[in-house]
Amino acid sequence: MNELMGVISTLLRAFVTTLELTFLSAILSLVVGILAAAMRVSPVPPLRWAVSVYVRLVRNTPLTIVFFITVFGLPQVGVNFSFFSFALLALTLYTATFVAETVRAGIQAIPIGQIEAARSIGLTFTQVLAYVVLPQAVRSVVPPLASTFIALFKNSSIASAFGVAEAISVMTNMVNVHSTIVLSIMGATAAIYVALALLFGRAFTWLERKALIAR
Amino acid sequence: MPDSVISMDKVNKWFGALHALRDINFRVSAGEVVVVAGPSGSGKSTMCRTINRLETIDSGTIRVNGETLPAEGRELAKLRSEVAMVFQQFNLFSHLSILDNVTLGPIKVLRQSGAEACKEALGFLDRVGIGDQAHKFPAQLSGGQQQRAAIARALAMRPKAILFDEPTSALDPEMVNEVLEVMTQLAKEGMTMLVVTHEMGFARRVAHRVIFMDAGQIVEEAPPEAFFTNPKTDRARDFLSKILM
Amino acid sequence: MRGLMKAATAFGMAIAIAAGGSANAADFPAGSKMDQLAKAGKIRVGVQTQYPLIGMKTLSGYEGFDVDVARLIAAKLGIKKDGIEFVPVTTPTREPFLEQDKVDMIIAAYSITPNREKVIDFAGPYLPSPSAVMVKKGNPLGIKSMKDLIGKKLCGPSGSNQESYISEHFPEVRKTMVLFDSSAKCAQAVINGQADASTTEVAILAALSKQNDGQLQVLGINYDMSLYGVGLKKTDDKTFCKWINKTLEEAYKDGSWAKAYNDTIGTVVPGGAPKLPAIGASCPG
Repeated sequence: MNELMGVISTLLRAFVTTLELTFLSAILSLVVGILAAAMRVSPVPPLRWAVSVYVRLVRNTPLTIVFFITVFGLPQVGVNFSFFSFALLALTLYTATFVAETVRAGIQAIPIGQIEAARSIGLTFTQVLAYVVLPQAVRSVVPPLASTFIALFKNSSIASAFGVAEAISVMTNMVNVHSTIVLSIMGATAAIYVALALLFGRAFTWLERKALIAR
Repeated sequence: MPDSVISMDKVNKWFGALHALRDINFRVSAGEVVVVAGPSGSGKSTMCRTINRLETIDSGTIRVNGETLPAEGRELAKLRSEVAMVFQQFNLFSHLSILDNVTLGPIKVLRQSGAEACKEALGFLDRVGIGDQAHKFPAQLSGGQQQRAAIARALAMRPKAILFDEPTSALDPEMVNEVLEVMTQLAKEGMTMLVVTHEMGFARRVAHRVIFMDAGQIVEEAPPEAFFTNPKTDRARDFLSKILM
Repeated sequence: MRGLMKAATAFGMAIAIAAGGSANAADFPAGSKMDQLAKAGKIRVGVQTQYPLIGMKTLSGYEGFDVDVARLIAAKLGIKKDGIEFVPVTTPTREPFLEQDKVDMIIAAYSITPNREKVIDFAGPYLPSPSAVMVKKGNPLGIKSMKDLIGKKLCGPSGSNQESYISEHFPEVRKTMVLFDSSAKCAQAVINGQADASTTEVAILAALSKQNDGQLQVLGINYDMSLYGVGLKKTDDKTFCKWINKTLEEAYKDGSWAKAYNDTIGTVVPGGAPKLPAIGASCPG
């Protein structure tokens, strides 16, 4: 039991890295995803095409391959970051495509009349997006975004295969060292994941309620 | 013709094979109230929407204050802000309070300060009779109140003209009058207005001129008295007989 | 292709030995694990799938030294080639697979440690497998010992024996270590300059340096002289364990062990087949 407690405290420290990875890439992919969604509905065709290619390509590629190309491909063309930054980049590139598609669906759900009204008072395309479309779109997509970000939380474990000592990487090592309590170590890791994911779920429910009130 | 606020010359528009607007020519002068009447599908709403370029046109020229309507960009946005629009479905921004609905344009387009815009907005809301609703959200208001808020939003842009696209068609009958009263008041104050409507009573009382459209064409153009008492075309007669029953 | 031919020859030989002599279901004590396996004509062996020359899954099937050892043992049970079911295992699945009878034995770069011996039995050892360090060709950082790796990015497979060993014996080196899930990725990281050195079993490093022709170099730094054993479910009855030990000794004596080594690890690691360490990990005598 003492052995397991020691393992759990080591694991909890590794979860700090998992959470850093998750939160930073969640924020970045929200920014990138919203920009991409905005570009996807923009009146400039090349922007629409570029984003559409990016979204279709990256969204349908297994995350491990996105990681592979990011971590080992970019250095071949002279771009070299730390493994943590590469993991952040790969997770952001991947998750942003899901955010973009979700936000785009949110944009399309806004009554066209409101957009016409916004244009008729002289707002530019960017202003229409910023003040009328996106605030409403983002609110309506809080629940689907919650699933996207919980998936991101779990997806961050792929970074363990690419040089980042997050929870799963440390779990694998713990398993190798403490071979008598393998199942308990895995069970404990799963339990921490589930507990944190449930916590995120609650946070999003709270956000959603706030978004509803503000409508 | 420099004192035309709105002018259309030989404007044509197709929706695929449908010739929606056929050689439309007309002018609205400053201070004039023009009612556009006609059966549904006659192109009157489409015409109204082309003036703000919510619909594109295929040929012809539309001028606002003598300036040709540009295709896209900031210049278009600027001209749009000078011609406000009131829609059938009100189209208030549902995530903003009534007050914020009214101040959004003045702050972001006219670059007014928040305090100034707010003060003016409350004035406009008082003018349309819903000053006490300023802090509510659109969904909390009745249809008539929402449409009056939309009129306040239009007024706040200090427009050269206001386009009304069937402003009472989506309202319950008991709310039609409160909106028409506000519009009548505006007309009396000298606002330039182009009103697409089926409210012939309003046309008769308030309009300086009635334009009758059918099948994408302007069929008849006359002062209200002349139009209602002595329509020149069969199509107008037919329309009036149906609508005035 | 040549490797494949060699493997096939080695396998053929193993069959020949099996057919020629020892294996006959009747030879085993009734009810023993050997008896059960021989009668069934089937055995499930847990192997690694990403360790070149040791346990590797390729398009044409499983290959490597561990795989050849598994075939030697199966042949002595009289089990035909298609009676061997290779089950891919990873670090975290090895002990559970044995405990839950998902496999009959595990031959998967499985180092014998006292901690593991608490939960499973080891037959063997069947191979000494030191770890080594690999760097970019020419050793630009001039690394000569483990101490030179302090503050450097040393890349290793996560959850590996190397990671555990370095944590315990070279904690200063561990601080800046980066972990990937495969040694091949570490090799790529060294080539890209993203890591300064890579470490794992010397045989794997040798294979990787051969694959990445001329870009990598294995240094003569050896540490963690761990011994690979055949993982078995922990039981009070050590008959199967002892029988495997006896089989390994026979294979060592008759040259089939050395042949398997020379066909796999020996193709890249110079110095010929090593001496087999004293057998009798969990089941002495």
